[in-house]
Amino acid sequence: MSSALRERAPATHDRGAGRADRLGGARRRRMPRHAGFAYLLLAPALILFSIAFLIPIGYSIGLSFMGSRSTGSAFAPPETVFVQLDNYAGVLADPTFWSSLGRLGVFAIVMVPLMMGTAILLALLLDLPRVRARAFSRTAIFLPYAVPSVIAALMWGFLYVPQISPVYQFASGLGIELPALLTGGFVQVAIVNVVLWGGIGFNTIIIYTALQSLPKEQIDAARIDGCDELRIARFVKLPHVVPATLLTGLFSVIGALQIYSEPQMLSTLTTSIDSTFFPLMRVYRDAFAHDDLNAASAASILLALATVLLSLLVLGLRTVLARRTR
Amino acid sequence: MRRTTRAGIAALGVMAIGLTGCAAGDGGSDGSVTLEFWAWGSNIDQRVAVWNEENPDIQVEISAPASGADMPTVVLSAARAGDGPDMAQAEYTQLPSYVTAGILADLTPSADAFADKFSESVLETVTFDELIFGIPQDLGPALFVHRKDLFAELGLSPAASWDEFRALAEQVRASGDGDRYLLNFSALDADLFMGLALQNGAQWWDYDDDGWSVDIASTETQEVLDFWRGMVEDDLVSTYQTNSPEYVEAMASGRILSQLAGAWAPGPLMSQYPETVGAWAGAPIPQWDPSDPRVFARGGSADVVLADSEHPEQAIEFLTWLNASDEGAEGLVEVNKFTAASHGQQIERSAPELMPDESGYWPTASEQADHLVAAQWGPNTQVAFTAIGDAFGNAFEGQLPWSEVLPEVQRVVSTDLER
Repeated sequence: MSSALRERAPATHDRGAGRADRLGGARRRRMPRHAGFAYLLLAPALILFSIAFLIPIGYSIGLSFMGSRSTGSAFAPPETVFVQLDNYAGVLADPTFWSSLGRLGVFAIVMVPLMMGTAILLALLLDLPRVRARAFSRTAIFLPYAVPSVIAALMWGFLYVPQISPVYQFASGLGIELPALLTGGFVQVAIVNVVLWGGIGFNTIIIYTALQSLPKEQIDAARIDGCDELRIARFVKLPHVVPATLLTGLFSVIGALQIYSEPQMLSTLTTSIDSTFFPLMRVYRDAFAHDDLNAASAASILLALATVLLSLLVLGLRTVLARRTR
Repeated sequence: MRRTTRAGIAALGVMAIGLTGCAAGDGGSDGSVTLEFWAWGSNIDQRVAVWNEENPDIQVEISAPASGADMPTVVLSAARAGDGPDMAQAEYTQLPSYVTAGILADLTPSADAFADKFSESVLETVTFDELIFGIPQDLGPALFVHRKDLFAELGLSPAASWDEFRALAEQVRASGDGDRYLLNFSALDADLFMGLALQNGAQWWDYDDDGWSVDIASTETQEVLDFWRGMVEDDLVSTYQTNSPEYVEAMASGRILSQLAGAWAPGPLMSQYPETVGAWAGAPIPQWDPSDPRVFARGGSADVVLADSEHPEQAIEFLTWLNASDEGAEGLVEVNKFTAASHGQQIERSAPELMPDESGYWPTASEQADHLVAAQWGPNTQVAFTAIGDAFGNAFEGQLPWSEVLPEVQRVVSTDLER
């Protein structure tokens, strides 16, 4: 038996190898034709991808290594020269870059958990059996997402100004003194609120949709086992929406890093938000107020790298969590 | 390396010329030309229409791709991309950035046609290193534009000196419910602070053969800053962001009694607060030394010809007519401009629509214009504006000590100059 095996084994191996060779050969012969056709089909997407994505990124990277240097006399046009990593060094040495990152950190740490927590809570509430006005609530929760962030910031901005805000007027009518949200440290609260208002709807719908894919039997089984709604939510529904939550959490983190239009809009209403409040505002200032596209590019690329790193971190976390649940 | 860069720039330049040719459109085969003119100023289109009627060979197309403060970004990017207009309106504060970017045509050879229409100090604002780079259009000599109805109600009169101005502000605060302010001092109005410093003898930028130098943290500026710090800390002025809802509400309800504005102020006030017609008047601005009046400008602009224009001669011809000729100056007066040309300042004109019974408004403005101090703006005025806005905002909020405001602005502006 064993000798027979020993005899057959090489043969099997040979046959297998032979088939692989034949397959490989066939693939090699066919490849050019197939590949050509594939590239032809891919071409529109690739061309658009290059024009809209690769070329601008390449151009920015190029810009970030260049700089304009004055040529001595006052009115001679400056010269564009290769400056190696000077722009990056300049950004990293600028205290306003770090303070804007610090504020961004505070913003993200407060905003993302609040966003995810509220979205999960709302999704679980929507998913309760015998809930009334479900379609209406779903639409009402989702609707703010359809409002452009600039409009949302403007609208909230009007509500934040004590002199003209109906909210403040109502509160002071009741004898309650609300804090002026557009002053000092409260301004972060004001920004977080606008972002939450606009973003919770989107996240709720994603998580709610994930809940719909939960098999009814599983919930019924839990109910038969004596779980009340709270326990079903905690032990059946919550674990089920972990992947969706992580995904929307990743979107929220990226969204937080890219925060721009809300604070930019609110900055016209208050002196608490300066032109370097968040990193992207600082990039805008460099590019347009300072007319320094090179420094702006360097800062943008640093931010993009940070975003990629953070995304990988969140995705890594997701894999680890997925493995643990398995 | 350097040679390649230069060759690259040259190649870009050639492409640019080609592109401008396409964009501007050379008109028909009948030899007529079409000029592109970027300007935000109100009513200038009416003057352009008059010109187009009379000059079928040189047609001007006016458009406003951006408002005043955002204009340099748009013009600079377009000019660098070779897609700039033939002519553009530029605030005096913005001219140096255009000149240093090298995008303007030198108008010195054609200056004989318009130079004698302007006073020497006005011409100086468009002259850099003895070359003329623009034709002045309007001036914004600062005026104390105030609510004369409320002043009469409270028994107040405009202040001649800054000490009196502070006393006036205290009186206004003490009146009524205590919700009135004499003036709003906004972090966004950096040009006002720059003007106030200029009035006290500060000169922020200067240049010599070695390039630009900046002197913002000077004693003169510090004195002015200390005055306004006192006003802010003692709650004698409000610090709303200009044109924020808070500010607009306060202006509309008469809780802010005055503005230190350019002579053009009646126009915007009229369109924003039409219900206040007849309530306003203009007066000279307060002085440090009333026996030696010094006046700064807010805004005011010139028109420039871009170096890439294919029809510079026609452009200069049009701009000379628009801004310098007697006919042009009279036309600008008709559309409510305070002209840079001397002729336009001297002719009789009716009171602004906002203050129909204030026949003394324009004569006061002319008088103020006689005391305008020469200003040297820098190639990065916009950087200084942003830095002042940030530093003042942070000082208002207690995030930055007042003593750090000027050093911080100086640091930002000089770092930017050195690059």
